[in-house]
Amino acid sequence: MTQPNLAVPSTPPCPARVLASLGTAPQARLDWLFRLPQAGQAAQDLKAMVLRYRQVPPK
Amino acid sequence: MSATTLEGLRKQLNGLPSLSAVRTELLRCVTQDDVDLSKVTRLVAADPVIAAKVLRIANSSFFGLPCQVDSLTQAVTLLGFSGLQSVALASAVMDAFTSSADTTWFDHEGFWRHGIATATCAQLLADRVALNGTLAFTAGLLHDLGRLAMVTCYPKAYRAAFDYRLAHDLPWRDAEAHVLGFDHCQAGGLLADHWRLPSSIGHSMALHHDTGHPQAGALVQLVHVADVLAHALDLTGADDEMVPTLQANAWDALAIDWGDSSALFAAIEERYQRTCDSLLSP
Repeated sequence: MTQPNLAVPSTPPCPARVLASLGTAPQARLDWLFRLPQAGQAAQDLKAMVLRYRQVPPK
Repeated sequence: MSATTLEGLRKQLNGLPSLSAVRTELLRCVTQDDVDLSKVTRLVAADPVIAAKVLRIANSSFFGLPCQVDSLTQAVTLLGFSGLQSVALASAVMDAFTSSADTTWFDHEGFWRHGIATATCAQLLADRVALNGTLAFTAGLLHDLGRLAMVTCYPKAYRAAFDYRLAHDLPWRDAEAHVLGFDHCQAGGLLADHWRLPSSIGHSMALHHDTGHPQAGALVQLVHVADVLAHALDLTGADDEMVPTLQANAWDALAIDWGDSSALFAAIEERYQRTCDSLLSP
């Protein structure tokens, strides 16, 4: 069976402007925004707060 | 043209106009803890470009006044103290680097939108860590100014860095260092020296991606977190938006109270939009 190529490509898998159109899907857009390597819990905490805000904006 | 090196950039910066004495004093004045409002008003009055901007904003639809505001004192009353500070300092630097035939590809407005986004985040976060909000706004607004210095002094090389970044989906800093051999933080440090900016602002320009540096104090850490938050909130909505790597030492050292973060983010978005409308409208 052919193994999948898990190497990180040197260019993004699809143009940023295409992914930007995912803006209406908060999780997808946030995953794209946070695509750089992040160490530690802090970035995860921040991402979770922003996602919560996007999904349930304050009244 | 000087070689594309930090030393070359230093020579190029010496060829650019310095910030006027009035604007240097204005920057110093608005970032102090005990600001003298009458002095700020006098300094604004001494700079026709800034005075005109203050009057224009006071007369904008934002205030919806039925009559014309034609005195600076009246305008200052309308804008309020913090409004005057923001307008004055933003005006002091925003027209120092203007677009030229060589830099039409560079999105100046997008650049300032990100500056305003970071400034707004820094200002509102400053309340939660007991730092001076206006100083935080200033440091946030100017944090990436090294990029403008680079694009002004080396437009072709910076265009190459821009293209390289897009092709490889890299942070600005990596693309700049790859193509030019130095990055916007180093350029920002040089520019801050050239303009004799307060050291707290200069450190924010030079160290906002290097918060472990011995000279990176609380303001630098705040600007770093504000920069990351501005990207995470996607305030500018840029196609190539990317959240920089969050430096845990800055996050931990600030120990920001993130309680009711959704209300905070809503306040940031509202103020960001209002500030853009004030400062970027033609």
